Amino acid sequence: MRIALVSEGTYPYAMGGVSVWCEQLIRGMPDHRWEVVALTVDGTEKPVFDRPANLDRVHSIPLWGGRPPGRRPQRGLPVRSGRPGVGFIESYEVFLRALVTPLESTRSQAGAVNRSTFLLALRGLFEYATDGGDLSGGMLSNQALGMMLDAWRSLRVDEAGPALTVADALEAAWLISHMMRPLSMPPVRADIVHSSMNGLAMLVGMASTWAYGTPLVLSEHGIYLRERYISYLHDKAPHPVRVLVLSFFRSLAGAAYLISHALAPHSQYNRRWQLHNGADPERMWTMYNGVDPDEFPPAVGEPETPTISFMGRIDPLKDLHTLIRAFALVRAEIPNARLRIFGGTPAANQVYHASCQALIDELGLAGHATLEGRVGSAVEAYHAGNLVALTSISEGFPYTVVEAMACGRPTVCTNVGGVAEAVGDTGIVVAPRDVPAVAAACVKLLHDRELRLRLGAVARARVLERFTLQRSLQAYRDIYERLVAQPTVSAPLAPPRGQAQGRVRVPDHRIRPGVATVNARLPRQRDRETPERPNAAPVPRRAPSPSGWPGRPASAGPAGEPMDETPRLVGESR
Amino acid sequence: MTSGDRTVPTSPDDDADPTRRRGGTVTAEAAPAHGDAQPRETERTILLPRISTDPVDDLVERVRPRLGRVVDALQVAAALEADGHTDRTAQVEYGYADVFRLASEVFWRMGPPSPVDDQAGTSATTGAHRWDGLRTIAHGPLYLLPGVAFPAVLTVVGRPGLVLGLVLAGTLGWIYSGVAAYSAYQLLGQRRARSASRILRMAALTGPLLGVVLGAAMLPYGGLPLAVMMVGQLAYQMASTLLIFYRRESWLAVAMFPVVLSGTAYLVVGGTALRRSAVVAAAVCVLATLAAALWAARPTTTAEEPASRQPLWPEASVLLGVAGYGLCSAALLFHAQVPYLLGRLDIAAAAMPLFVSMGFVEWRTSRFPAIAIALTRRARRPGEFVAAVWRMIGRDVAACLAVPAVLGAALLAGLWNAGVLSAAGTVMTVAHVALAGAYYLAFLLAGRGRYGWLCLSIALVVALHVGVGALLGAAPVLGQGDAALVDTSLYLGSIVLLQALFALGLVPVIGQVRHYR
Repeated sequence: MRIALVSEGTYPYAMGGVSVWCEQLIRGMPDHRWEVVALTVDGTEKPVFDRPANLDRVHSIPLWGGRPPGRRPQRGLPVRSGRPGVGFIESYEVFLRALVTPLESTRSQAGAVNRSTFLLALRGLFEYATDGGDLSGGMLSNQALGMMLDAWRSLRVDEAGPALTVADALEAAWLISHMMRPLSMPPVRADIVHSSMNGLAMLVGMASTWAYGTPLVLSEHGIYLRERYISYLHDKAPHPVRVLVLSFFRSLAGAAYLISHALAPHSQYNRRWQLHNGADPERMWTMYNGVDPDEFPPAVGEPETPTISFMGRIDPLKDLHTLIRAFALVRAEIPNARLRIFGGTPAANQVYHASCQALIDELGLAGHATLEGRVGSAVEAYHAGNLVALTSISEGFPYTVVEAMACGRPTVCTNVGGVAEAVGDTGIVVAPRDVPAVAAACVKLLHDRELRLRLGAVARARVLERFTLQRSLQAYRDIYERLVAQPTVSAPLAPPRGQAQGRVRVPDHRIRPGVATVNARLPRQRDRETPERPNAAPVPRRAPSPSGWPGRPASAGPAGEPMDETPRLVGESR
Repeated sequence: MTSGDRTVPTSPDDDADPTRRRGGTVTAEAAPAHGDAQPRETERTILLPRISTDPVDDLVERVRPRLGRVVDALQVAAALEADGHTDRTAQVEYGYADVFRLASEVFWRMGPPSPVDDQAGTSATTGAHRWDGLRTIAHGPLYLLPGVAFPAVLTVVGRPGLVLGLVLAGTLGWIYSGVAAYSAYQLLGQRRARSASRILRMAALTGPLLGVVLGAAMLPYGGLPLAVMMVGQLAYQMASTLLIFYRRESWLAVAMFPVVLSGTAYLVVGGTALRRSAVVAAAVCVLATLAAALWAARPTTTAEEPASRQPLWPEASVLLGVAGYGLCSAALLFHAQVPYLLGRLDIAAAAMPLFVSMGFVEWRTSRFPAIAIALTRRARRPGEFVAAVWRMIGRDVAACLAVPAVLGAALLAGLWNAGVLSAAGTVMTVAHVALAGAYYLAFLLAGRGRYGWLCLSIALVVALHVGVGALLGAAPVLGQGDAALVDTSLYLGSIVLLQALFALGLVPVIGQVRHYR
């Protein structure tokens, strides 16, 4: 089986939980052939992982450098006016409608329509690019910018916030056009496309599904959309730009849930966000990250000096400031305590690294709290502490916690993402950004050796029971085999469940508020005997012409798909 | 929702005021009573903070400073969770089913985002910016500095071969410096300052070598003095390119100051000694300028350059376009001027206003992108932006015509006073004034990378000028007759046509908003 694993900003060019998981997956299934599609910044990144023997190729799709190699838009006239074609205009108008329309709740019927509309528009834009259209050029054309401004004024007429200017429209279109680059690349050919995260990486899978009918698996470690929301909290971009870009992320995440054949949240916590953004619970099953217990042996003893250990990259999401401030309180109680922060600093986080060091100096903790840098073996970092702390404000299902538990160390963690699910009753979980609570938990554990040892022992037992690598790999192996085992000889003409098909068309080329001007081929009700496997049947160039948005069948899900058809994957891998 | 109000007295409209009901923290003096401009202290009415017992109100006020710029309820949910709120706290502390529903309520109560800080204001012109403008405007006179030494050099080199040598060296220098500067700017754009420096220094050193080759080829026509002059000319062109690239115009002026002094002295006083000193000064100053340029271009950092997927050198087709543009520009100027250089002072001098005002033209061009970006912030639609851009171009072209026009008028007055002004000289001066406007448009085209259009347009008008002149028997570049007025009139017409062609070339690109991010 050939599997294309898609990542953004992680494997094989950066260290981190998702990268570790990617490598585990590839090395853990040596009987499958793999290729990796990596969304990168500008393509100059160097791999930081050794290439596994069964990894055949690594494609890099630079999102921000010059135009990536591969399919190039056809050149027309010698003078390029930047005027996009009709195929672009039709799809882009629907795209904008989905992007600009204010959405009170993603769980509403409007939210479902928004996701389906957005997915259809994405497909139209993909086909425009496939036909040789210059997607980026089209989105940045004056005509497209004018459409964006018109859409904003029509659909957000009641909005009291700052109005969209031409400069804002250009900025938003420029950002989104770069992020849409994967749609202009040749679709990857594989038996399965497995995206290691939601968001831009899913565009790669969407393209393959549309072009070849490739089944698409989506794993979410953290919640992509949630992390984008947090990163944009302090962004300096004008308000309308943030609205458009975050709407793009939200709609894309929802569309990805719609088109995925299998969705694997890596914690129960993640399920909440996915369900809230329209994921179909019948195609979801929770998968926990696993570690090899042999690689993380239990610590034999404890350091002589009371030590709090942190292991992970230096990143604002880890909220090391809270940990450092909490450590200052710990030292007030335990003067000889140490804080050892292990982990490398990505180039983009050098400023944050400096701020951590400055905070250490400012609080008079120099020599007691140390930024140790990258460490040869994570085991050393876990064994170096009496306890392991993680004070993140956002997490998926962090390896560092599970690894520390495997090493028999108690943990002090903040309650974000799947952390509480991982820790259970083997450590202390407090609220994020709660400095006194973190400090109190650390002091409690550092004072109580018996408690530490007991929690450490049950932590390792919990890992052996629930979070082993073998268990995790087997679950994914089952998914792959079930997806490719679907009959392919008589490929069905109907699309799979929840997958919107067709090309959108807007009759009068004008945005009309309150009018759903989307013509599309709709997901058809299928017979039970119809195989699940999507097909590579030719995509109709135009919708068959249903008027307006369809009414939902009585037993339909949010996007109009029948609710009674349940892939047999549900729950079986838990 | 709210209770325990301590507002005394309460306006009947208070309860209808949603901002007060939501905010609950407003403390303000009441407005004075009607007709009572100076209310007594005892009559002051104090609005005390409303105290809300709804914990969501309290939550809203706590998160407002950090979440004032959120875009939707989901972003509020993400932020609340990052602050430690969970479904359980949403239920227990706030009475909502989960964080998402709590976030929706918080988002609604926060009201619309503040427009403050969103609009990036156009920064006021600072002293540094003003100096930048003056620095660019000074390019014109700087281009003319070596010209002061030409009369002295002319007497050494002699007339045979002089014009051909000047044209060949000037054209080659134009092309070579243009290509080097273009490549260096591209590298600078990729944050490869060291590579840019290397290319410029290589060009500055190889430029004079090209002059040696060219001079050797010209030995039969002008001998060693001509060859040396060509080497010096190329060295100066490359050196000035480097100094202008690194914004060291003042170094250029200082290095060439002795040339100005000695050349002027020779022009005013004459004499063998002054002539010799002018020639020696020219040679020494050119060498000094070259040395200063190499010093200015030395790499200032040893830091490794960032890796880039883009090749070190621009595409060959682009470099060819840049070189072609340099060649065509030289041809446009020289083909009309050369026949008159040694025989018709009023026609030969017609280019002076253009040269002096070229810095002004460059300055207007350099302002264009910043002003266009400011326009994108004001325009409501791309169409409005396009119209504003063309209005700006119109104003700039007018300004670029006005400056050389004033200078040209002064020149014509001087020539008339000297009794050497002819109708052909006047027309030629007008043509060069028009050429300033054409160059402004050409710079805009070059900025958009439309070198092909530039080359074709120039080639077309040169061909028309020469071709129609040949038909009328007025093509001095082909050795035809003495019809200077017809020739210069045709040249003027070709320049006006060139302006139109350049403007036409700008139509599809200059109004595209995407160029002004």
